[in-house]
Order: sequence, then C-alpha cells, then structure tokens
Amino acid sequence: MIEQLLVGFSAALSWTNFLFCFAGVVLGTMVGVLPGVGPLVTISVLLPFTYGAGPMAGIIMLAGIYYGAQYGGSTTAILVNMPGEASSVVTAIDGYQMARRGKAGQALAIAAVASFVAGTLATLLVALFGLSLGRLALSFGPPEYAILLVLGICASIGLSRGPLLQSLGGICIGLLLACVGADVATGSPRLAFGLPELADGLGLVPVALGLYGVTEAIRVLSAPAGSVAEIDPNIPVRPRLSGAELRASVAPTLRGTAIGSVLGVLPGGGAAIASFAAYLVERRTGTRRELFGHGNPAGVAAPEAANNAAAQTSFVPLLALGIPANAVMALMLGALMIHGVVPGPQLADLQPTLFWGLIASMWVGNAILLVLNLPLVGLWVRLSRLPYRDLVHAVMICTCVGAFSVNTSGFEVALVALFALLGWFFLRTGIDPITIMLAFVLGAPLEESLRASLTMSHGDLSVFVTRPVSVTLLLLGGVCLLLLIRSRGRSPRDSQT
Amino acid sequence: MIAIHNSRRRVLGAIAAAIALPTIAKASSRPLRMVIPYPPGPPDTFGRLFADQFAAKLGTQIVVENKAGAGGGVGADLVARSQPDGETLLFAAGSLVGSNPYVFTKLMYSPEQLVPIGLASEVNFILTVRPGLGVKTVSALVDLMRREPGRIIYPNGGPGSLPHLAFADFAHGAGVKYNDVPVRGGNAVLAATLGGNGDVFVGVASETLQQYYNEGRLVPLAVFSKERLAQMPAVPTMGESGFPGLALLGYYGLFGPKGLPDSLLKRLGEAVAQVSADPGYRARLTSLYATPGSVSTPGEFASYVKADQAIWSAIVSRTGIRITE
Repeated sequence: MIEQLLVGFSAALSWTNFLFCFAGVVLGTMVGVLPGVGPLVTISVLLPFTYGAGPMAGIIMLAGIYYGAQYGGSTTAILVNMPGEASSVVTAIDGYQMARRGKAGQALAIAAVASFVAGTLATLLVALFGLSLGRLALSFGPPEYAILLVLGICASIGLSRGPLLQSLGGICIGLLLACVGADVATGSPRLAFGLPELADGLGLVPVALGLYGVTEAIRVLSAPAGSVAEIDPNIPVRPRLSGAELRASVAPTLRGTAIGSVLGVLPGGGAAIASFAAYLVERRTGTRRELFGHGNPAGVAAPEAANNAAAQTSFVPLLALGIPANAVMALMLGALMIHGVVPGPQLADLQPTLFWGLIASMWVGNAILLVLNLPLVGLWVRLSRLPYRDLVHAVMICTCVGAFSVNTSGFEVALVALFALLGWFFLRTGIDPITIMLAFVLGAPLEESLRASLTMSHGDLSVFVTRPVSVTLLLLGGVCLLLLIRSRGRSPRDSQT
Repeated sequence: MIAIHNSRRRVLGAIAAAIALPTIAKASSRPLRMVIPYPPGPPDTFGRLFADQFAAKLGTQIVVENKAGAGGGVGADLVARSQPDGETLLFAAGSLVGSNPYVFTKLMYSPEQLVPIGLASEVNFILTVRPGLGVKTVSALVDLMRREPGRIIYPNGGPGSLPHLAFADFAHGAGVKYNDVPVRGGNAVLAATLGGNGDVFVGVASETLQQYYNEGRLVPLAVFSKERLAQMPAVPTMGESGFPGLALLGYYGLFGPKGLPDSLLKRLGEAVAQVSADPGYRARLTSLYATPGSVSTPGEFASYVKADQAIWSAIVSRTGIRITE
C-alpha cells in the first residue's frame, strides 16, 4: 500500500501533473467564489481542453476544480451570506455572523485550515480504506437512505431559530418544492405548470441565491440608514488567529471530517447533508453552544471540514466501483471514458498509476489550496471592509450571471427573483428559511428512496426495521431526536438574531 | 478624367471585396452547434467522441452544447424548432424517435420535426443478475421467476427506456411477473443490484460491467443482439437462449431540423459515413463496447430509423407500457 502511494506521489508530482493540479485548484477556487457558476459547468467547459494531456493530467485538473470549488464556495457565504453551493449554506450561518462582527478574516482562515486538515485526513482514508469503503457503501440500500434522509430533515429542526411549528411548516414547504420535477416512476412532470424548464425540478442554485443571497441584499439595503452596523474599517487586514481560537477549532474539525468522510462515500450523494449534519452535531456536542448562530468559529470549522472531506471521499464510489456519486462524478466518468479509461471495480489493479496518482494529487491539491487561500484572506478582508452598499452591485451582477450560467437560460434568473420575493416575505415575518432549504435539498432523494423501499417490500413498512443498518440508524436517530425535543422544551429558542 | 474615375472605382471595388471576403468566409465556416440533450457524463461521452471526429471530417468547428432535461426532450425540442440551415444539429439516442413516441403520450418535442442524418454508434444490452440469485442461464431465471411470481426485483432506472422495454418484453414473452422498483438512473440500478437490493437488470454493455463479470460480482445471462459480442464470447444471445424475437440494440445518431436542404443533408451524411469508417473512431467505439453500424447515407439511416421504430412500437403494444402525463 505504501509503495503504491509513493508511486502515486511520484506521478502526481511530475511537472505536467503538478501544473494541471495547480491550474485546476486555482480555477476551482475562482469558480467556487462566484455564486452560481459551479464546478459542473466549469468542468464540462474545460473537458475538451484536457484531451491532449492524457487521462491522468486531465482528471487531476478536473478533480482539482471540484474540491477547489468547495474551498472557494465558503468565501462568498462568509463575506456576503451568499452560498453558491448546498455545502456552503451552513457555513454562512455562523461565518457571515463572524464577518458582521469584523471577524471575516478569522472565519476565512478557519475555513481554509479546517478544509485542509479534512482534505488530508480524507485522502488518507481513501488511500487506506477506499476499496472496502466502496463495498460498505453498497450496503446502503433504499430503506437505509430513506431513514437517513428522514433523520436529516427532522434534525434540521435543530438548526432553525424559530418555533417548532414554524420549522415543521418550513419542512412541508421544502418538500413541496422538492416535488416539482419529473416523477421517478413515470418520468412525467409534476407541478411544472407546463413549463419545460421545470420538468426536471427547481435547481438548488437559483433557490439558494434567491432565498439567501438576494434576500440579504434586500435586508441591508432596506434597513433604515445607520441601523445596520457597518464593519469597523480599522480591523487589521491580516488578522491573527488566537491560540485559543485555533485550539477550539480542532475538535469541530475532526468531528466534521469524520462525518463528511462517511457521508461522502454513499453513492447518491450523502455529501449534500454532510455539512448540515456536522453543524448539527456541533450544536449538540460543541462547547460554547450559546454562541451558535452568532459567530461561533466551530460553526465554520465543522461544516467546512465536512464538505471538503465529503468532496474527497465522493471519489470512492467512482474509483472503487465505477459508479459516480453525483453529477460532477458522472462528468469525471465521462472524462475518463473519453480518455479511454473506464473505471470499474478493477481500476486499482488495471490502472494503478492513475488510481494512486489521483489520490496523491488530491492531497497535493489540498496543500496548494491552503498555501493559496491563506494569503488571499487579506484580500477578502479588504473587500469585506467596504460598506455593503458599495458591494451590492457586484454581488447582484454575480448572482445574475451565476444563475444564468446554470442552464444558459434566463429562466433561472427569474427563479432567483421569485425566491428573493419569498425570502423578503420570510424576512418581514421573521421566518428562518433553513428548514425549507434542507427539506428541499433532501426531498427528492427521500421520495425516491421511500418509494423504492416500499415497492421492494410490496408496501410492507417492516422493511425499515428488519434490516440491520436501517434499524441501527433508526435507533441512533430516535435517540438524537428525543434529546433534541427535550432540549427545545427546556430552553426557549430566540427567534431572531 | 473618365480613366481616373474608372481606376478609382476599381480600387474602391477591390477594397470593398477585400473587406467582404472575410465576412463571406466566416459565414460559411461558422461553428456548428451540436446539441447533446443529456447532462455531461455518459451517454454524452459518445456524443463528444463523435463530435471530435465529425468536426475533423467536415472541416468545421463544432461547439457541443449540453441541453439536458426531460429525458432528452428539451434538447430535441430546441433543435426541432431551429432554423434548417445546418447550423444546429442534434446528437441523440435513437429512443427519442424510436420508442418515446409510442411510450409517452405527451412529448415536449415533435419527432416528425427531426430528420435523420446519420448513424453514429450502436450499443448492446446484456441481461444481468446478481450472483446471489443462483442462476446462470436465462431458462434458470425464467424458472425462478415462475416459481416465485413478483418476488424478483427489477430496479428500473428509466421508465420507458429501451432497457426497460427490453426487459418487459422478455418477461412478457416468458410469461413471468416481476417487482418493478423505480430508482433514479442507471447508476442507482447498478448500486442497488451490487448491494443486493435488486435482482436482475438490463445493462448497456461496457467495460465497467465487464469488470464486474470478471470479478463474479455480476452474472451475464445473455446479450440482446443477433450475434455474440466479440468481447464476451462465452455469453449466449437471447436467440440462443430461447428468445429469438429479442434481437435488440440501442443506437446514437445525428439528427437535424426538418427542412434541411438536400445538398446539406448529403454533405452532412457523407461526413458521418466518413466518421464511421475512420479506424481511430472504430477503435474507440470497440473499447467502449459499441459498434459503428453499417449505414452510409441519410436515406439508409431513415430506413434504419423506421425499422427501429417498428420494433419498439410492437414491443410497446405487446407489453402495454405507456406513460401518460
């Protein structure tokens, strides 16, 4: 194993491969910073340019774009409360609060370091246990997924700052939004109102941009002058992370890494809930819990670690099984096929240099990203010191371009506007949209798993309790939920920051 | 005076022509837009491979545009409505015109608005089971399904898709019932079967499947083709296994909007034929477990498409698979 890894490193550090890795992670970071323009679009645009370079260099660059985007995605989430990906939504909760308190630099630095640590550990995991992890992931069938997702949605109640009834209502709305699109069994469009653009469902990007990004712009711009605390322009450009802050981030980072690594391996993408789950666990077990939602560094470290770990381990189903875990991995699969390499269970044996070279380059990419991003923090802090009113024009342009780029169509931009209206309504009524977001993200896979489970068992509900993994999840989840409900009963939630 | 005027005119004329020339040249070599109505990743891979070669043979730049949605409907609709000037073409699976019109009562594109240009590649289907089922032949599977009607799980990754229709026709012919479990996409089908949550499926022949067969984690029962596949000589055909009517395959082709002028059609068709004959392209297809097919003119392709439609419409009426809005 070690010799194979060393072979991998020597391949990854060849000039061509290193250069492609560097290009990939830089591009990925840039792409991640821009809300809306995601790794999927970038990879598909750049795919033809990799044809001449050979499979390994090409894949290394494309992979770099993917996890580089995870690093970059947290930047706008922290700076302007505009998450460009599902994984950044949670980072925005505490990250943006830290930025509003003048600690944008610390938040960005913590995000970068946590991501690096998570990336290193996850790469190690993939190297050591990748193949067995892949087989383990297969034991997750529809019933297990269904339970996991139900738990995820219920647990999102713990993320919400509002009363219980409101959170439940949010879940219902989110599930309703998730129903828009093609029915899994018949393929016929539901709730599409005859619009072909809705036949495949609402995209995550327009919804997130509208509900969070544009709504925040509305909030700031509509507040009476002087009431919005502007960031102190005297905060240092190169903030120092205190030893205490660093130490406080270690445990959340490790917890986030563990959660993200496990969830990322599940084909079908547990990566979407990795950051939510990590944040929730932090809320339950972390120290200084009262700070959550007000700028707790642990609230940045844990989800960032989780989403980067998940980004690394989501390669496992592709490399170990030949099954892509999400849309980006499907694109990687296509890229590999174009280069004449078809991944399958024997990839490690048939193409060891490619396999181990890719794993080694993932670590190299993480290292490059850390070295790249830490100095960039100063630049971002300078940007964040500008009054929001000056930034908002650029933010809105980025939003529109990003939304347009999803499907090169203005429809998504219109969707952003629609959800911004909805977000404004929530703003005025004091409703926290987090449960809507989570239910929306998880709704479609939940429905598919539930239907598949019940069809498999001919409608017999006992399928959820007669399978070992499913029962374990149920018990674990049941315990967590009980704790959640008890704690809500004890301490009343504050409804607005 | 007149002489000077004439020479000035000639000079002016020459300058005008010089300015106009690049514009004319540009108009005839504007990049061709090839719409692939699937998201990036397989099966879009076949399209990109084809586009590469096609651009070389045609001498024009080709821009590939992924316009996914509604199982290919969004992209198909886009091309069907576009100007028939040869600048927008569709690379799609034959199912868009071959089976979808019979399966789906409501399509968001009009198949009659698409005109066939050329055949790009053909793919084969393999009836595959998980080893835990304990069957190694088609007849053994049929026996098992007869003994336990409705217990065998068929993870259905695409209702109304060609693999689904192929399997339904097989079950219909054998007179057996199965449990159709809807899952999202071909990858979910593979994951479900490998994990023991699915029993049998119809997969598109690929290197990935071959590796699973080699490892014994999946068992190929039969191929849905007229002859045994060169890469899997030990796997019998459905015909050899007692189902001679199930010689089916899927194909990818190039289509254009209706109204394409004949000269353009001929030129494009010739380019496609050249691509199919290219040894490099053929080698890549072989490595992807696909074949180039043997069609060389748009006319031949149109008959090919018609024959294909006849096959699938018959299957749809036999099995009664119809998906309504």
